[in-house]
Amino acid sequence: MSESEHPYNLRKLIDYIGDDPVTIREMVGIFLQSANDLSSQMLDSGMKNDWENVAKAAHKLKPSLDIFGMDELMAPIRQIEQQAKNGGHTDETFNLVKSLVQRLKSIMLFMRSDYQF
Amino acid sequence: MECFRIFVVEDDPLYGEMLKHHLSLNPDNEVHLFKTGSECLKNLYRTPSLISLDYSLPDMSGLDVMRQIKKENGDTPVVIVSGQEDISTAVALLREGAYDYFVKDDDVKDRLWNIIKKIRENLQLKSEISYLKEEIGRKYEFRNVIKGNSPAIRQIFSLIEKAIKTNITVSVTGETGTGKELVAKAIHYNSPRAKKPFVAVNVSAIPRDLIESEMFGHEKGSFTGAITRKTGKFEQAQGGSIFLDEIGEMDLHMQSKLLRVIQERELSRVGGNDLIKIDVRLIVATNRNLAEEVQKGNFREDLYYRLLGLPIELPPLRYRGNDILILAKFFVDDFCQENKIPKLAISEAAQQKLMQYSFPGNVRELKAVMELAAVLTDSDQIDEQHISFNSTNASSNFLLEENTLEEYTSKIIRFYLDKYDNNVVLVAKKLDIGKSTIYRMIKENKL
Repeated sequence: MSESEHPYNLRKLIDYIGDDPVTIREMVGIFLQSANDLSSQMLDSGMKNDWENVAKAAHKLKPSLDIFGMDELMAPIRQIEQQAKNGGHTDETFNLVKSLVQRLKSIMLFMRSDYQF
Repeated sequence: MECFRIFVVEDDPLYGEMLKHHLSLNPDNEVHLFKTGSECLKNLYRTPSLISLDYSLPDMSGLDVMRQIKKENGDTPVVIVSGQEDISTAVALLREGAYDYFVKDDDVKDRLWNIIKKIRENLQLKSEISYLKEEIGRKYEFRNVIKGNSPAIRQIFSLIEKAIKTNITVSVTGETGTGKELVAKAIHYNSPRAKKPFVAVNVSAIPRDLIESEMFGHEKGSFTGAITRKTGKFEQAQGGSIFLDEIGEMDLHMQSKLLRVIQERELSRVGGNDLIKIDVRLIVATNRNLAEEVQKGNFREDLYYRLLGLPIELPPLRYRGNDILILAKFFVDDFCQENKIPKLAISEAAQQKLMQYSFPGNVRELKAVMELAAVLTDSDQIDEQHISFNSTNASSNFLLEENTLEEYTSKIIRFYLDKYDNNVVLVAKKLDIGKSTIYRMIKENKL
């Protein structure tokens, strides 16, 4: 898979922490854990129409997606945060959440396989 | 440089760890990561040099955390790192005292480094300033700078010690070159005000039209040329001391303004209406006889009494006997050290020549004479021929005073008594007069 097709990109992360493989793996581990928690928070809260919590989770997740170079998820996460802040467009917003979480989980699978988590 | 302690307050585990790791790449940084506002507040006793604070925290808002930080460690810079681009929040936080505000994007690390660099430079400057202030304090430890152990100078030491312990206004008088400013600095830098500014103003050097603005400042547009607001010398000396040299040269109009400021302990800038409270210790100096100036109507009597405070009258060098040699040695040693040349001795003949001279320019003149002598000598010793006096003929100046014969006699005897530590027998021998003459003049209070 070429770099442009790869679903995530570590350039920004390496820019921050350097290219030590042990540290990179450690950060990937932290990301997998926190992204998993925040995804669940978005889904659970969305199901309960708790849009304030959805907005909070999206707000927290946004910088991590950016750091891991998941460019294709940046526009939807911003949209979810914005809509949820404004009270949510119910179905539309929840569909966005489901779609984003699905895409994110598949990228996370890539990561787990790359870093053997 | 000591370690630079950074608190990263961030509940996003990835972002927090990443910032911690990134900032720890500089081994001078000691980075602590806290996931909540209350954890950060509990650790403020560790006196962080910088706090990077996430705006959205689980337990408190970034604003509340910052307010608490400002309350407890007012000087600690707080940088808000937020996931949202909200101008109104940013403005509100900056108004509340945030050092900077930025959004979590690619620039965060560069901006943080820049801020750390700037804060480190500021801390370095602050520590240098504090070191220099201590150095100045040591430099002006008065027994290090005012040399001598004649009775006259010992009396001055005792007065300086009294001045240091209180806030009393001090008026220093003495001939030119006797070290009036040195005494003023010694008082300031040994007093509790030592860490605050010492501002010296030579009243005679400021044009009459500008003196009020120089002393009390002016507001923008208060007169032609006042293009910006300017603080005056009194405000610059806030908390410290102001030294007004040549106070006798101040005109009557300005004297009345000064009197008001001293009485009220407040001033208003030229062209301004606001009253500014002033906490300044006043030290004045003159080589005029202010009491005579009051009688002649040149100096306000009320101001004279206000300024008199603790009077310190510096003796002319010619009345300080052996101090001449102590000072001569001090100036030569100082000159050699400054110019990185081996120490020089002063020959017996050179010492005698120094002791026989009247030094109308006082200590300032002696310093110049000894520095020149140190330059002129080609050996490790200063000899008689290296000592040259350039001041106007002191003896003819003395004769120009037009005193009575009895007054001249009294001055001559007084001069030799000071020079030889009040040794009446020795003075009588030097002047070839009977010691009973000296005792009689002492009894008649003519000396």
